Amino acid sequence: MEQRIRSVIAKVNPKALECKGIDLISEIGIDSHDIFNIVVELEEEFDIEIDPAFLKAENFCSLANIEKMIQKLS
Amino acid sequence: MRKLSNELPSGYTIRFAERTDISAIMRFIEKYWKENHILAKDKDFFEYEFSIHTEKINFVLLLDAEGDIVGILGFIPYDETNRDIFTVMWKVLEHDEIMFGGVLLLQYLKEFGECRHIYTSGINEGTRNIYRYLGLQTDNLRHYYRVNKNMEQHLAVVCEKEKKTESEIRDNGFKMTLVEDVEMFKMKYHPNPNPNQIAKSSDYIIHRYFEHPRYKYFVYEICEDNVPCNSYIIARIQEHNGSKALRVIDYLGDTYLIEGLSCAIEQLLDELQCEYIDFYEYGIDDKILEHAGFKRNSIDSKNIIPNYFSPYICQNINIGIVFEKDTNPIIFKGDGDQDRPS
Repeated sequence: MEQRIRSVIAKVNPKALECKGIDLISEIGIDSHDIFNIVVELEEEFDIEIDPAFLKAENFCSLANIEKMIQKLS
Repeated sequence: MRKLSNELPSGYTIRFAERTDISAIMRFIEKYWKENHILAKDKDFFEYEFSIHTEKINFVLLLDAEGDIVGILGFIPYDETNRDIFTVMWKVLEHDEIMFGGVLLLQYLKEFGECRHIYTSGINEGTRNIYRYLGLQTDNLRHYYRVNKNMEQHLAVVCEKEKKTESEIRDNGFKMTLVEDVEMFKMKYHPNPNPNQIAKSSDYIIHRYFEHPRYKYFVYEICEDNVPCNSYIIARIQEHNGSKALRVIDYLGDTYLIEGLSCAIEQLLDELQCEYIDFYEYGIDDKILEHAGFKRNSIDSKNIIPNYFSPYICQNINIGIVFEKDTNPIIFKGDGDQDRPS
């Protein structure tokens, strides 16, 4: 799952392939624009709908948190 | 439309702009959009662009706890009820305290602007997924062109030989008559009642095309056998190094009438000594434009039909658009801010 998430984020920011994934904002500098791009790609990749209520910085700050969010939505 | 429920941090506000905000908005544009932008430098033009139909200024502002502007969303309403509006100039500063401020501005406009539908033209490619996530439709304007066969091409790069078709030779009774009397236009023009078409009031058309402070627009009334059809084609000439192109900027009325304009367009190109005419549009049946003698151009075509003349850039470009699902709009280059001095 983590690798799939990395690949998705890498479509938006290629640095995601090499980063630790613990603090995406400081490691690869994702911003709110990037989050929308990542959300659209995640929805397509995992066939889920990410409700606006989940659009919070803490859900996207690390690979582990993104994975938790996807599991909640699956 | 999906709706974000993010709350604003303490002290932050979103509101519609007032006239007293003009200088601050212009400074924001200068600092964060483009230093020499006309809307950062020319207050008269700023007021012309953003205070049609109202004493207010057509911007939504995001302000921080100190009252400083940290985000702007401009919009252009097409009648005094704000029924259909195009958004322009969408910019929010990236801030630790607030995420998705840009979306909150858009939501505020939709909720409190009392508008029927929101559209956008000339989107930044980086924002396309924002619109898609919100449930809006994105696409590109389609680009059509027609060369003047009696002139050499210095502006466009056209590799194919254009062949004459029967419709180009036959005078079928359709004429385009230049409208110069604004009062006469106001008396004759009635916005198209088609509920799917964007409704443009006569006040909007007069302000946008007859009263433009920088550009000269040609507003042609379409007549069939000398009977006016309540349809108009609006164009502007752009020049470079003494060569001229005729750009179709807007169209009012029944689009099927364009099909009958092939001969009239040929005559107009000769009269104005323009090397070609082009037409960015969305929503018109391809066959209508083809029967009028237009060919479709694409961004990766070997043919180049330029869009930028100030300065001139010999390049095909896409113009991205956004509209609400199930609206089936008809959109032109003149909508939003895609034909504006920069």
